[in-house]
Amino acid sequence: MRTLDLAAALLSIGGLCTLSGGQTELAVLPENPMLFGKGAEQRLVVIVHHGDGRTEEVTEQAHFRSMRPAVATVSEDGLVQAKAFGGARIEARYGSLSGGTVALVQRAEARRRSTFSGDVLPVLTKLGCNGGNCHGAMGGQNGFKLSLFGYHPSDDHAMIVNAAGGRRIDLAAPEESLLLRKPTFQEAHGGGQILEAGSDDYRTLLAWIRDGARLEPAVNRRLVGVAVHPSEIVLHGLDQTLQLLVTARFSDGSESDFTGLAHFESNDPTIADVDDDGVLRSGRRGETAVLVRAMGEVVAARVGVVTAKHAVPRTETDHFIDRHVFRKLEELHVPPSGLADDATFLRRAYLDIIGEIPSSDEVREFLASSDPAKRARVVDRLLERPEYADFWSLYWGDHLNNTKQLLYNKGPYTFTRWLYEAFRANMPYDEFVRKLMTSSGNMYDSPATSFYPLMKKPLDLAAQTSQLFLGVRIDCARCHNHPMERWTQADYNGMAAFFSQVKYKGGVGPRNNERTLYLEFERAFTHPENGKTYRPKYLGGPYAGADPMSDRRAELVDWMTSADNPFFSRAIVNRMWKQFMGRGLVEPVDDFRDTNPASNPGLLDELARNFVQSGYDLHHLIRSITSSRAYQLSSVPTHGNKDDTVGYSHFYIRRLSAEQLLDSIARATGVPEEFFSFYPGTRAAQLPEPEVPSYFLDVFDRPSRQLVSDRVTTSSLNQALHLVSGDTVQDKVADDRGVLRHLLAEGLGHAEILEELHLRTLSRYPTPSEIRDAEAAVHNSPTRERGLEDVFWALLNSREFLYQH
Amino acid sequence: MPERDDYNFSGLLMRQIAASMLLAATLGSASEIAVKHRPPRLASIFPQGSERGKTLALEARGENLDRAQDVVFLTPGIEGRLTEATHTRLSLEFTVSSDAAWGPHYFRIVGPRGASSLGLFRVGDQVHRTETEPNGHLDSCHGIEIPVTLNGRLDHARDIDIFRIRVEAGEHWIFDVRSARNGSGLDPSMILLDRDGRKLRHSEDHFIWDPFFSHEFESGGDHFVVLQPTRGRANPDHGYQLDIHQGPFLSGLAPVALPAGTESFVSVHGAGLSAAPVDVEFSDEGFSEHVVQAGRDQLRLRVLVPADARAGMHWLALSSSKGRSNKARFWVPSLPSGSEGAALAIPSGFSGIARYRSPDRFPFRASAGETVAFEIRAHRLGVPVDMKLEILSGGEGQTEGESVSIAENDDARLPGTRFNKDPVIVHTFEDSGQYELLARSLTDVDGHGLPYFLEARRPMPRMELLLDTDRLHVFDGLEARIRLTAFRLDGFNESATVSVEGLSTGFEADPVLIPPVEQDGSADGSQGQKVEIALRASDLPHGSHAQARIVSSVDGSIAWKSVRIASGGGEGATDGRVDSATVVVTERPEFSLEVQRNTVNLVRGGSAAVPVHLERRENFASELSFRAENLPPGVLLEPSTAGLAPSPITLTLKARSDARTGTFTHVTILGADSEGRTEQAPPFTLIVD
Repeated sequence: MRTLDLAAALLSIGGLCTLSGGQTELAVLPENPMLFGKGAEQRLVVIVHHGDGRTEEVTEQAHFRSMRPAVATVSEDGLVQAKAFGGARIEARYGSLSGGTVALVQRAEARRRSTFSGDVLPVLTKLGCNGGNCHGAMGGQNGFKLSLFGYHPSDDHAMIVNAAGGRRIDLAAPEESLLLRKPTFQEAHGGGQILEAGSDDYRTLLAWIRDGARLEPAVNRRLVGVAVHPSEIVLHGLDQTLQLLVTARFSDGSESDFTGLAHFESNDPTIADVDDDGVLRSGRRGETAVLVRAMGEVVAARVGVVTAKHAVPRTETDHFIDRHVFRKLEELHVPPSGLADDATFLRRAYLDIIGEIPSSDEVREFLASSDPAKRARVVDRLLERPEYADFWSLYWGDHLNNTKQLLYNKGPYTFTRWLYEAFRANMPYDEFVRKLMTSSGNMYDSPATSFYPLMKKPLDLAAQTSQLFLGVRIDCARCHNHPMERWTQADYNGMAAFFSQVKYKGGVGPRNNERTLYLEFERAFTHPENGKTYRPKYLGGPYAGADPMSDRRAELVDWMTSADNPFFSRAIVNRMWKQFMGRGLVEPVDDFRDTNPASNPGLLDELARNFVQSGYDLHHLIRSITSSRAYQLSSVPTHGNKDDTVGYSHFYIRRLSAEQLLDSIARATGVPEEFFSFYPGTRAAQLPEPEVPSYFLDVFDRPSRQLVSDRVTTSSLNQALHLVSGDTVQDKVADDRGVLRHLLAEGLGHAEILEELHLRTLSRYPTPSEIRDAEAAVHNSPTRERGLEDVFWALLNSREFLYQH
Repeated sequence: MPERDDYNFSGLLMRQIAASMLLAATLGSASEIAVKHRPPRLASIFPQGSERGKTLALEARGENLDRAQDVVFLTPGIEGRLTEATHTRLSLEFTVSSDAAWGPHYFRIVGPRGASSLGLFRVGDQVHRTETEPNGHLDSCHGIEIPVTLNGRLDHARDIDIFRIRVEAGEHWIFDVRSARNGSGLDPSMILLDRDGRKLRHSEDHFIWDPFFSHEFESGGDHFVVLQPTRGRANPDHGYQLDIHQGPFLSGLAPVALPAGTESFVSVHGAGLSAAPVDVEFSDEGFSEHVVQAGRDQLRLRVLVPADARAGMHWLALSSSKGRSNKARFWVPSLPSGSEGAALAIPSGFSGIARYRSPDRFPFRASAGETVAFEIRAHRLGVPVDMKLEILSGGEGQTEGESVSIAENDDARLPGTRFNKDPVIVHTFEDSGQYELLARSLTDVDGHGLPYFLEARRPMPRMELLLDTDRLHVFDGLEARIRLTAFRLDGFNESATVSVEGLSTGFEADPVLIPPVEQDGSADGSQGQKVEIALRASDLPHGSHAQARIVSSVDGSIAWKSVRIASGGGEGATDGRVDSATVVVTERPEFSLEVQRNTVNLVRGGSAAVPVHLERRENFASELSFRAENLPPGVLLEPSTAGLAPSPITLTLKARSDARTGTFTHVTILGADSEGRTEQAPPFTLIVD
């Protein structure tokens, strides 16, 4: 018996549910399936939604009945077969529960012919014949070469029907065709037996050969999409099972049950495994995606597993973020942690928004305030501070290759200033991207042109733009159609063609490497390797660039920043979400793909929608996130949520970045870090380039900025040694200009000094036991000064200081 | 071999043979030719400028400065004298007259070693102060009164200059750093901080390398102005001037061309323009103006251009109670004005606004065989626009697809100009018919349209003379040659005579005929014709000098040169325009020295060998003794002498255990003969670790 717990959203699917006895419901999937052609078949799945939240698959126990058997029949195990044009209600009964779906039969007047693209290639794909380790390999196998996953049907047809003297197909005696004899191992076959004679797949191939082994016109019938039922599911308990159903959609408008031809794969089999037939099996608690692939089309089902039921208090909230987050937690039976206290929130907001900790005075003022809106107010104030612009210039500098390695010596300096001004003015994000992408001039007068380093060619820019602003990695398609995803070389080269007008002229001024970016309108994109010319094509969309005098980059930005663009706003809100929440809804943040679905798609969509409605206002987005209860949760996990890594049940702690850490140490100690040739007081977040020497920043993972991907955060022995015994912390603690010397000079007592040190480092008052322990340590030291230095040093080396929490 | 501009051993025509014989008799062997003459090199002066009516002491740094005799200013208004000289340093005294022209003045140091490279001294209109170290921290920097012009240097590693200023809320101040514009290699950043050390403004590379901003202060009280070197390059020659004032400052005019005999409304853009009253100064007499509207960043003027105004480049500057502005350039055309929307008449001029991605289109007719010159004037007038011209066949009445590009130009190569963004097309049409000229802005400058002036004219054949030699050293009994390049423009192919003016008694130069050419001169002047003028000096003591001006017989124009002034390494530099060559009777060196290392490494307590190549003139056998200048404390050159032993000579540097560590870029080896004549090897870098 399969027990499961379907999401509330699924319960609302019209047509699938029939109320029967209180809150218990019976659902029949798929909803209103369409069967094309006489004899077409569709499997059904029956699910019971219990009133207590449990869900149970009862397909094997259910009784089926067709209300119009002349139109469609149904077998005892729930297999519907088309007979004649029309609609037939199929009823399922389980105990006292009943439910149904309507089978819609179309084009039943004629026997449907098998097609090469719609029937044969899916079988070959399912069998693995055109996989990369078989005949889909670069050189094929034993002279038989198929395109990878059937991307080129006409080539495959020619190879099967015409190549090798046509011996693979025998129209006179179809069963003697090598296409059948080899996989059934009636002839020696390097891949062994992969097909049963007489099986459904065998009959599909045989029928196609009997019909003349023709290649239908390209527009006739090809797979255009697949859907999985259910697309979201929560399994309760270990080893619970559920059958997934797959429906294929074809270019001629028809659909068919593709469950038997699809390939299933779990992103995390330890949470939910799936077999070749599409049957899910639950494992440990968590959430994962099950990928369904067919002929290059991919869809994912989001699967949650609950192994132990925890009481999840309902969170009453008007905040759209919280609605999504807490609904998800309820579904997964993961209770959220409590709300973080004011001190924790303040520190968290400072570090996330301006990249450094608050001063002791700022902490005191905030904690003393009884203003119920003080959390929102402090966020407002932080957004207006110049440090905000510095900190986010740093973030974008990391992602926009702001390094002299690509921009020459002065490029990072001018570009950093441009970024700073953009964030200082809270430039709308769509305008920010537009200015970068449509820039012209030289990097001194028009620093946004630094988006276009000289050595980056259209192919590089296509990949960078897609990854950075659309969250899509298309690099694989640079060399070949993506084996697992939908991006093709046509997509890649089409994106590259948007940048082909970009041209540079050098020698335009006295400065080294001074060059001007301008457009040569008539310049088409010619692939450097195959010499073919490509038209600009939006990623996954239509062709563009009809006007030869238009700036194609502007056309691309128009498309990217249109409100209904499926990538642009999702990509940026996901980036920002990660910066504040510690983990992207999609991870990695620049790897949106069908096989890597968002952990909370509804939240991602609504964040994106809200962001667009705000006018791409980053301040608004930050206010939205930081004002949510989800952001303000404590980082202290509970027994019920300690394993959660994707639901945001508690604040995910993370080590401070190199710049956050160094600037916070400087702020806490009152001793600014001095960087070579920068004025004393320059913060690490203000450094324009990663080449500014700093051992501390390097050891704490300052990136080289030569890649556009996110920072990595490592933990290393060097980091520990530098904190413990390096000169950064030690020198600042003991510096004569530092806070400790000032406090001592003012003649303050132990308690006052210890309080100040705690406020400066941990942004909170010390507890009585902390005061006691610290005073004991001071008492046991050779001198008071030495003892306080030790306490200060220990605070700066504490996990509470080193981590965002 | 001698450096290109020093002296040469070849002659022209009939004099060639005689000169060669003389040369052989005088110099004899190849080794003597290898004795290098090293004229003075002026690396920097400090301070870089002063007010009018002041006498001030300055320090100059460079090479081969010993025995300097005179300071020669190329423009009137400043007198200079030398008070002390070593090989690498000079003490100077400048007296700036009360009517000295505002802005840069160029000068050279002259003596028996020859004429130095060009120096720049700037006359400003407000109080000048000099920075005092230490001033590298917010809590220890000095407060300064503003407005002020601060003379400072970022001359050593980690040197950062911070100045504290006090302002009132709502005040608007302009901050303008001149370093590269004063010939300094310094590439500085300027940062404005509030009283808490938070950054308010940050600027680099506003005027090529020099930072600039204007700022309105939201709150009053103390603020900090920081100057720091970009990318850590510090050098003793890296000086700057920081102007802090309340205007006016001009960034540009629109339109940029004002026809003679007309009254034009002119928008003046900049900062600090609202300070009243405003006086407008023009480069030439006869102009008058009326302020129509005054705002902080824009001034609207009605300018009356006299009917007899000289065609060509002009400027205007503003004066107010807060000070005097920089100059803004404009053009007075010699062509009749075209009108918007009408076909382009030839000749005519048109003032337009260049907008990115929206080219201006000018239909016109041309006849077969007709030559027309189209020229944009914008970048040369200070407008930050980069335009392109293109001629399309067809034009009005034809569809887009029928137009064919028959000529185009982006950045014309203009004689004497290293960087130009204005296009020029001189085109001879093969067919009579309708054409279209496209004037396109290639780049987007903050989304603004920018003014330009288009000239459509008949060719104006002319010659432009450029000096290749801007300082000339005449050695005893030898001829020296002033080298020129004559550029033939718009098809000028006739002969011309060039003669030298301004020579004092004892100097002599004959006119030179530049023969005609059969072919037309190149359209854009990219081809040049080399010309040499022989110059002699007789019975003049070493160090005698004159300013030689080369004048063309065609139109009386004077040869000129844009001379690069750059000091202390780094990218920063400026160009000074000179219209004469400095000619000096120069002493021939008996020997020359060359350190055969660019960098010498030395550790505390250790020693390092410094190989020095010595070249002697024939018959010069004096023993040489060596010393060094600019060694860091704790480093010594071991006493050493050299007789006639073969080169190289190995000298030894020793570092005491307490020697100062670091990188020292100006260490110099000097050799002296028994009569005390010294020669200097080019400096090298010493690293003490």
